[in-house]
Amino acid sequence: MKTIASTALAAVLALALTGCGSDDEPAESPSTSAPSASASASASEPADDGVTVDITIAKDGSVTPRGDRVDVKVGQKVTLRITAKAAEEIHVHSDPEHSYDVEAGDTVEKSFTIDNPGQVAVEAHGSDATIVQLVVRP
Amino acid sequence: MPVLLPAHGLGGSTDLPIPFLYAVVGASWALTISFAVLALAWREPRLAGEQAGQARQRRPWLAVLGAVLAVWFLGTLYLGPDETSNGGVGALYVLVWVGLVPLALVAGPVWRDLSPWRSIQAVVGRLTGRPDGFVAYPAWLGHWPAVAGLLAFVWLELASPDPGSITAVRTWVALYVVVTVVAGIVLGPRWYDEGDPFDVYSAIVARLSPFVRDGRWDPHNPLRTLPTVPVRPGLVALLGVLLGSTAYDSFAASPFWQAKSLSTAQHTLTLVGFCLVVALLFQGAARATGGVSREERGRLPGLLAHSLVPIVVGYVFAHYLTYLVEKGQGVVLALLDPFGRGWLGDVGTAYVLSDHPSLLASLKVGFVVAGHVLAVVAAHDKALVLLPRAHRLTGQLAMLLLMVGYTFTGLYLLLSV
Repeated sequence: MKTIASTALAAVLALALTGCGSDDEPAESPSTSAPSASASASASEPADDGVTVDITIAKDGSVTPRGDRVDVKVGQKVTLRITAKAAEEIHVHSDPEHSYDVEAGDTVEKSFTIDNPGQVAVEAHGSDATIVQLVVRP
Repeated sequence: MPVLLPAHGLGGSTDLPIPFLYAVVGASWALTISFAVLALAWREPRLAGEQAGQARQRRPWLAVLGAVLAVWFLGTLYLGPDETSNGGVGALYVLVWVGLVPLALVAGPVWRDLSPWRSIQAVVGRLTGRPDGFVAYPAWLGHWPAVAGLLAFVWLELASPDPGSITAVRTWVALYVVVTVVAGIVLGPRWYDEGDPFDVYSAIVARLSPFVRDGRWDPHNPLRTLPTVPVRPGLVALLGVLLGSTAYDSFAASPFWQAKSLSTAQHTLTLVGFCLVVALLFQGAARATGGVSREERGRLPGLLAHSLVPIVVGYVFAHYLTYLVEKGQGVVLALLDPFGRGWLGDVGTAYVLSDHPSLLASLKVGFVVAGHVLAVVAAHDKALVLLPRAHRLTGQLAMLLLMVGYTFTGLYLLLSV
């Protein structure tokens, strides 16, 4: 149990030392143009400007990816790049929650940050599918 | 429709997976202590012999408090906003379902004192001159109605199409209240002792309370009162539902499971399957000994069932602690503002556990391992009472391995989802 106790202690100390520093502005800017690089096809890619998740909604409403884990840091900018061939409502189950409506034919980017460690589900409300779980670590 | 609502219908984030190292340390502790208990612990029973005292009269002030809380809860649920943010939804999932466990551990069997349904039955019984109901509660029924009630609850929370739906929760609660009041009036107070899911769950966990014995404040070794859990038909199934459903809840959050599109029926079958596997494995392991007659063997699972209680409680704490502490804050705020007028302003949640993932992971592993150790000790001591001398060591082996299996599975689920 010593290992656990000391790891816990170390982590609490680390939090105390670094914790209050990382208050990036919560970016909530719906923009329609793709600003930067990070052109990886599927899930995620930690870059300077945060993590981008590519989401595709097919004509029949099915979404990709499904249930993937994406690693994110607390306060890091998360961008959902949504290519929709069908209308859908996308929920981000963080605190506060985010909800984005997309129409058929839309290609949009939605950004937010998450302030607390934990796992946050990004969910397609219409088809009741979990798109990704954001694994938010401090 | 497939269901994939995170965080048990309430929305919001869930715990991080525990780090690998923590799971390994927890698992090795559990394994080491298990075999140490088997090989080195006492050879004569030490914890048996305690008799359950007479159930205490219900305390009137708690009955009044219970009635007030019930009116508050039902008023919020049915008169408050028609959406998931309604405080009644959270109160059922967080305060009633999860809060019941720490309440029973700290304060003992107060659920029976608080229960407004018992109060209604008592009043109707007095008015009609039938305080013990109109029909005798059949002994063979035992805990089976409570098993059905618990299954209905975990189905609503974990497998129904939309657990957060206000309509679903209102319907479920209405059905529960009607069944509970009518069955109580017809069958008498024994319905609440044996058939009411929440009352029974609370009473069983209360036997593990280190503070309260027979309804009185009396700090003691909880392993002495744990064997006084009454053995009734359906007891193993009841504990199977509690442990199996919590495991299913973890499992359902795995990427493997979330990548599937499944119908409500498939979710329901999987949930029931988890509960069945837990209960049937326990039945098998409890019977796996030599030197007993057929009838004795048949009684063993019930007589050993109390040893499952610490595993259930440990895993419930590990799985739901953040939910209770952090979601609970929002629920209390919502109950203080039952009609959603917003007079409380914008009060945020204090993420006292989520903000310290290492501490949280240590707590979770600690709960699982502590529950496991208590369970192994309880099973060991009871086995010394039940098993013939020649089979005392070998007769415990299957149960010990099963408990190690439950605990490893629990840690694996905490690790991977």
